[in-house]
Amino acid sequence: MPALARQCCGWGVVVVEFPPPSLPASQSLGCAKMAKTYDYLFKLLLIGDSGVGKTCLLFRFSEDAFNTTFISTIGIDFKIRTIELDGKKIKLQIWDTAGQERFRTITTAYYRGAMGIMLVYDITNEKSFDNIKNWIRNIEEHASSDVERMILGNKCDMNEKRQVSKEKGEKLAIDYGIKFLETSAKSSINVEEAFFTLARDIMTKLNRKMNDNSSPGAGGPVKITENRSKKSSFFRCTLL
Amino acid sequence: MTDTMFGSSTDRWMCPNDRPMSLRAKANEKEQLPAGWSVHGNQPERQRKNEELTDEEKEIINRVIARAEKMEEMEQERIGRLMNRLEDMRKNVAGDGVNRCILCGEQLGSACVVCEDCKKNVCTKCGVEATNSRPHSIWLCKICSEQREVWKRSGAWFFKGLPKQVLPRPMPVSKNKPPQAPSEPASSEPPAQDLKLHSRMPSRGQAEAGASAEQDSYGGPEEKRGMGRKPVKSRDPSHDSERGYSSEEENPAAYRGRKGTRPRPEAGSEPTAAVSGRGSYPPPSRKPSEVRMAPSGSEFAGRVAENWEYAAESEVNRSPGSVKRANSVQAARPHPVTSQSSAAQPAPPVGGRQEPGPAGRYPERQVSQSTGPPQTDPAYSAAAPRDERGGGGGYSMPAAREERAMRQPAPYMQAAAPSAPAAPARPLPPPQDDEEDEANSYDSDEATTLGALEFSLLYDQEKSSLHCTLIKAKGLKPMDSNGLADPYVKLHLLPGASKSNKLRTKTLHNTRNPMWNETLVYHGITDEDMQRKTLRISVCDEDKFGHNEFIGETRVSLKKLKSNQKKNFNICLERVIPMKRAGTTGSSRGMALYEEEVDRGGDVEERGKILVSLMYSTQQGGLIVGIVRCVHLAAMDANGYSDPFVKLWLKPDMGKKAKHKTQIKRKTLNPEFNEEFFYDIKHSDLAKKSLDISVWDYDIGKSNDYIGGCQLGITAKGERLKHWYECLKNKDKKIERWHTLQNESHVASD
Repeated sequence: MPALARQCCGWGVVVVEFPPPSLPASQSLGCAKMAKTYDYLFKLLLIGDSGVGKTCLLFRFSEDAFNTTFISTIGIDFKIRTIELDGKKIKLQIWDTAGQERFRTITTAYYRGAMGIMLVYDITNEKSFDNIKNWIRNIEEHASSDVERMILGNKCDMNEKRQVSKEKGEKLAIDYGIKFLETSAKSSINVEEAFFTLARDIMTKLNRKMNDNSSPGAGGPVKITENRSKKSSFFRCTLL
Repeated sequence: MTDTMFGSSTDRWMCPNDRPMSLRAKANEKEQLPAGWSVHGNQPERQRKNEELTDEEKEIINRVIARAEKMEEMEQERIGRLMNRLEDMRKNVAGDGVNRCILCGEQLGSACVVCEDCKKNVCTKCGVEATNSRPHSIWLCKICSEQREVWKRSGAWFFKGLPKQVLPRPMPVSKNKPPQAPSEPASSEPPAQDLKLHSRMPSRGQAEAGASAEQDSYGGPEEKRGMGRKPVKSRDPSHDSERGYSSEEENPAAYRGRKGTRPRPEAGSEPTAAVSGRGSYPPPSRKPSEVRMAPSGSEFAGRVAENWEYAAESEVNRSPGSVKRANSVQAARPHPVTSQSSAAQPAPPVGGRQEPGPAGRYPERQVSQSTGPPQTDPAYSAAAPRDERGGGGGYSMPAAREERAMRQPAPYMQAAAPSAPAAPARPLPPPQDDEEDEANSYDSDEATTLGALEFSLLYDQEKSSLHCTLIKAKGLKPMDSNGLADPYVKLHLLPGASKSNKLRTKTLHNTRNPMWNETLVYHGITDEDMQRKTLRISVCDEDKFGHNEFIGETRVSLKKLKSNQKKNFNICLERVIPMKRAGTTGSSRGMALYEEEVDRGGDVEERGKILVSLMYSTQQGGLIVGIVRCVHLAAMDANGYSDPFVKLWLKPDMGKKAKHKTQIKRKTLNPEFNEEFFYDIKHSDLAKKSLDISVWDYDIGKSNDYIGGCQLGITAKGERLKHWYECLKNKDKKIERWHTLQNESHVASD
């Protein structure tokens, strides 16, 4: 294991002098816990106009099921699903919000705690698409500035009723620097991808924040950093 | 999710208000609601435009918040454990971080690095090379590495601090109706969320009529909700201080042990060595308050009601004999000591003291125990008399005990002094021998050495539930290297032990006198079960890596209980009932117990039970079938669980409308469905039909496995007939019954 770690980090000959680093405590913690519980809890939020399919997306993602009957969400709800990313178990607590205006005060209270927000519109409903920018403004007002965002054009199975072209959706997303996917909760298109992408973006942010915050010049005796391997293969959000 | 409650200062903009939902609903009305709309009630359309929320809506929202709060508590508890561990590490720095490694205190030579965060010097053994995207690697001392890990895990990385009160508080509901008012068929109560009434349901009011009796789905009796995860737990918040947060002794010990720089008495060579592994360091004395910097789960009382997602997860967490949720506390201690000792524990460690004692001893022993100082190990205080009787084989390691003495309170010293010289330094006799003699002697002498357990049992005949309240244990045998234990209680119903009927309490850490005060409930216990079954209550020591160790057990034949009468027990734990199998070793011990019971219970094939409600609604002109929950389902999947769902089929001649199914509950043997289905049928026709109920295990990509079923109808027998008959006879009355699932002939799953 230490040998492996050294290779990964591109260590040169010098390091051989040192005894191999023992397994970090955190790692062993991870292993022990891995089987039974989760490493991280990510809180996600779904917003968008009423009837765009937020609940259905969530239902598809959490239960892998779909329901054609429309029942408007009352206020808020959440579901849980634990996924695995990079060997980490991530528990997603996904908040579903009512799209209706009358619940707005309740739902906005949940913005602040969200690490990631899905903005959902309905490709068969232009108005819901136009409202995305209002929703984004809402996020800017109420959510953490670090929040990861993603736009979803739902109901992409209903191509014959499409009012919003995919290009339009993509353009909007690019304008805001947000990732975009067209989804269908009904046909199970891109639903997994959407949530995984958002979770991954959060994960990336986490890793970047927590691993890159070191101040320079702290290497001490171990500053043998000649082989600066360029591996900034970070999956950066287009926003950043 | 935030402190600000419903801050409505924002400019609100209108979104196109709600598409014609009524139309859409109509268009889809032939579809039956599969499931899962957990919090959506059937709100009347008329209120859609209202800005003001109705009380029903508020209640629904409050329930979601309550559900989220429960989850939050769990999360806070988890974070608390992480924080404690970190704190423990901080408290145990041994060096100065300049010439000596900050952590282990070793003189630093060439193997020295500087921690990126705290800038202290650490040896490479105590340092962690951070893997990151930066061009050069950095080192962190283990503390700072852990600190970062805690930030990551707690979400502090995002919220720039430990997330505290993150949920909006519940909304005030104008009328003073508590959400839990299950029996109150208040007309304002919205229909239960999982109510799967046919969408042709004429109006909401009628739906309520059907639902009111079973209103619990979101606010109802907590035990119903909790059933999804089968153990219904109620915790006394006052005991939280004992668990998890008192781990100050164990981690440091492990930490020291890990580095291997301390000479350790040979741990694992025999059981008592578990005690000795601690080295000669006095435990850091610390006030709990110092340790409790983390938000602790102070509101445990309500954790009963878990939502289904949780149910599934908890299920995972409580697979037998393995790492439990609470393990994260200890997870990081690699402690060779305890793992060794656990490996050396094929039998309860202090095996030499096993001779069956005179029954009369038990009461006195118990008294002395309960009056003794909390840290006194009865095993030790009782050592002298036992040695007289020549059974002190367990005391073969005076050295270990001396070490113990250094950190044990006085009572132990006194007891140990006389016994030490008498201790024969011979290895333990094989424990199995003793066990043979021990069989079923409840009052055996050794029981006191294992500890005493106080609990009460109550069989609620009407609700078919057995309530087991685990109060506390005293003087448990020390299991860990620190002379303490991390005890929890497991319950099994015998015969037929399986994961499905195992319940367990929380683990309390570093105590030999745990106060659980938890009530675990078995649902679906019939009178027959009460006659036939035995409750096994075992106390175990939770250990890292799943090497949970058995401390002692007791068994109560349920026959002894009178219905609806609480019976208190205060017993001494005993060792396992002897097994035929030889050579059971430490970690597989639990397995052996299972096997044993499986053997015993083999005569009856247990498929599980299902709680079904039937009501003929005259108003709606149809039968409402409620699938409430199943218990003790047979496990169909390799993981020891099933992904159950229930299918209903009203036969014969009902066509497509005759079939319904519930949603799938993942990875559970005790699913809670709380779904209702409507059959549009005349009362007169109903008598000719029969209702086929089958429980299936959902398998992706394969045909579903049949778990079991039962048929209610006029041609059925026993309970099944009775239930059907009562339903026919009592219109508009909801009747709930448990039915045992059988492996009947069935139609293939679709």
